Amino acid sequence: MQPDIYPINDFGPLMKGLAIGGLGIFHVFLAQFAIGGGFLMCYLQWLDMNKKNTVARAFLDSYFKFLVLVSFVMGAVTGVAMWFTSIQVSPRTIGLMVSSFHWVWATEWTFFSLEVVSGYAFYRYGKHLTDQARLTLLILYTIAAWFSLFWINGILSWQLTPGDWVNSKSVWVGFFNAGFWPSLLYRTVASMSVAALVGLVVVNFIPNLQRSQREQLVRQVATMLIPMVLMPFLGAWYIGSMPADSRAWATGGSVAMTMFLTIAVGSSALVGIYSVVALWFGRLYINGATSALLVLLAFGASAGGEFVREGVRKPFTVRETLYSNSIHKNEVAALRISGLSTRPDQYPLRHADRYANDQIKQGALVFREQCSVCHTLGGVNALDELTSSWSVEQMRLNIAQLQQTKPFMPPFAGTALEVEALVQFLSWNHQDNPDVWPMTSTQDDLGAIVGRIQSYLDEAGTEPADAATRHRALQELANKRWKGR
Amino acid sequence: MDTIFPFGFPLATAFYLTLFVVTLVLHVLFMNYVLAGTAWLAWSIVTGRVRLGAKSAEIAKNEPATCESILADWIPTMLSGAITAGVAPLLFVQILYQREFYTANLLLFNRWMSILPILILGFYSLYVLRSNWLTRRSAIVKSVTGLLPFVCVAFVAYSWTENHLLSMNGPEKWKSFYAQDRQFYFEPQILPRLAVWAFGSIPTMCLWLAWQLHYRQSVKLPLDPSSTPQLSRIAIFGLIASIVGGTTYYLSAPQIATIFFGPMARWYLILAVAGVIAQFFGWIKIHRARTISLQPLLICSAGLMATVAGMSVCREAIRIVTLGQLRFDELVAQHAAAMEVDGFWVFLLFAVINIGLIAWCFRLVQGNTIATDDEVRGA
Repeated sequence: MQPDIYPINDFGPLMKGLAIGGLGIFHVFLAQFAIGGGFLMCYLQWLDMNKKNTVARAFLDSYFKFLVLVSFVMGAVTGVAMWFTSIQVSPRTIGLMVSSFHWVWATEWTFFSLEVVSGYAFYRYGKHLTDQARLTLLILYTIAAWFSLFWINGILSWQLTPGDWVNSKSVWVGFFNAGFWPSLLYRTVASMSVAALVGLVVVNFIPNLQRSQREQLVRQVATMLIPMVLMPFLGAWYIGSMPADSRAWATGGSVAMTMFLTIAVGSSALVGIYSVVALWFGRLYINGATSALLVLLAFGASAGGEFVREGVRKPFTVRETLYSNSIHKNEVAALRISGLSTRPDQYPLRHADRYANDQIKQGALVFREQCSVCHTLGGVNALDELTSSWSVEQMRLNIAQLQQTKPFMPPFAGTALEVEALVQFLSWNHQDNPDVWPMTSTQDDLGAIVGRIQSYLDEAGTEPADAATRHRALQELANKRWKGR
Repeated sequence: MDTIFPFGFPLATAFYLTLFVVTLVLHVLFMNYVLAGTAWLAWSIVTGRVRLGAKSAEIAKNEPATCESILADWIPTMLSGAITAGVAPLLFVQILYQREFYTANLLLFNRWMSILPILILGFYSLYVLRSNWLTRRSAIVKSVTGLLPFVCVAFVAYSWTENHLLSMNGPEKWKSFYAQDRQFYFEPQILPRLAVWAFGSIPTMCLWLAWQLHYRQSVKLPLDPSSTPQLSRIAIFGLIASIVGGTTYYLSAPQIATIFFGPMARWYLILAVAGVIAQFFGWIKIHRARTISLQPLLICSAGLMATVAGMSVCREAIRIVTLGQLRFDELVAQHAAAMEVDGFWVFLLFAVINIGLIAWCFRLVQGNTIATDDEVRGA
């Protein structure tokens, strides 16, 4: 059966990955707050029940209101938004994820429902309940929230390390993949930390508390930050579970990835050191401004980590299965023969009259289908910039052998004529889209050019640069940069 | 397609269709409370029939509850319920009609994605309605804030109808829509179709409210005596408006009649109509008694469930017939492939456990209250 063809939207100067990445980072941070908040509130309720803090109950109720307003509203809606944005960016990726793991998602929904019911039950009636009932509701809320993470974490980590799922298609092989446990444990500790940091902000904003009561709350809330000492080990475990080429990319092979990993590690280290050394051992007090700054640092750490997690999958969205441009690994060989831009159910080119000739139109279609998910023409990660210094022949070679040109790029999935159309389209863009542009056939010997491109394509083959090649290339790049210092 | 829903389909298709309809019904029950509730609240605020803000809630502690005060208190929670319950049908629609659903999303693009910030705006404005800040504002600000949740929810409802109808078009119409670079879709049946759902939401909201009032009666919490007759009047109006809306829809899209009276949907249409009759009977009984007793409440509940379930199946029958046999045969193969995927028994196990735990949450709240307070409004 033919794969479904979807319309592709133009995000203008905004890279599609930034849209999904930006929303994803925001949603993950809110979700971590909701999950860690459960642990913190159980602890506070326990303190209250054991008479270890006289204001723990008041703090808990204030904190929960904050959690409902921020996490239950924004968290729930951004969760749905993640689905819708994924459809906008890569319908085939989200389609594959849903088709392969729909029962896992359905299971997660049952926990999400429990989380919402127990959360609202506490929010609405907590003040009127017995201590034991309050604690029970909070424990149910925490279990449900953590299990939501458990189920989603399996799907997200599968994208990078699907392991033998690629062959067996077994749900549980894919779910309990190499990255599952380190990722789950790391996220659990991160959630506890985010919740505790938000708690420190809330401590400073509750009215009618004496300084000594605030100090006691700060010390007790900071207890939840102690597990951060495990983060370096869990982080190393997670990075170790990555495929070698992805790991190499994050550790020097790509400047952007390495920079974001450094932001994640650096921000986490700053928060961790301050929390453990100053707050816990030093028993220092923390004011609203400093605690808010720590929350921002934690957001930075979360953002850096998520960026790396999304980025190191390249050239895939589901490793060894689906490329970033929504072309299946197994489809490339056939598309080299039949072409991508001339499929019968292809969506037409919008504003076709703006293009100089039919070849440019075909090039625009190839750009839309193969490049536009990660590149723009003149905005973020613009092809105009990336190819501006290349000669026409260099473009033919580099695009035809894309996976060799850059090992994190997918192989070109089209015919030699389509490579040439894309080259002409990019050249036409370099010249600011003139009204008249000669087609290759009218200025050169088309047969000879297509023949050369075909030989480039054949040389590169239809497979991605294999993991060892990708790893070696990235390692060499990292070494070169290191020596360059 | 020539047998009663869902028995004319292969097992996998029938299974996913049933799951979709069941979870959709659950979502609709919450959604209707929010849609009709925000409309009622907006009307009450604009006409000055309800006081706003936390300060008013404090005053209201010693005053009998009204329908409006219960709505203002409960809509945010019910909106959360609607979003949570909406996740499951959103999942199953991706199994059943992946290409259709994704394509409609993509074609409407920014217009479609705008429902998300608008939903957040509507959500937060519901909390603003309960804030002290609003009590100190001018009448215009209060009116605009009062209208905002309804406008936002209505926009989301309209967008879903637009998306749903666009998704039922075939590739040729999608290509033409895409080529024109449009982000708004319109066809004559959008408004009558939306009207059926919008008016149909009124009896659902009234029934939820009736159960809330009934609870207050049973635990002897103060209740405004005019609440019950007011509620029954609105419910009966909602039922009549739904019938008028349904008839308009029927007249505006004659092909729908063929589907409704066809073999797949016929008995569900009868079920829906029977449900409306039962609701009329129950509400008239409540109106006459001027109090909410259990028996008519149960009759209305059974009637409402029959109507919502019946109409949900009719809605699905329209989609199946519109897509056509050829396309549906392709989909059937995809459903069979989805059925091969592991995990159903794990889902079932945790569904049973979590339903039990959700029930336990209600029990915990009911059985462990240490102080009765009027803040516990309409539980």
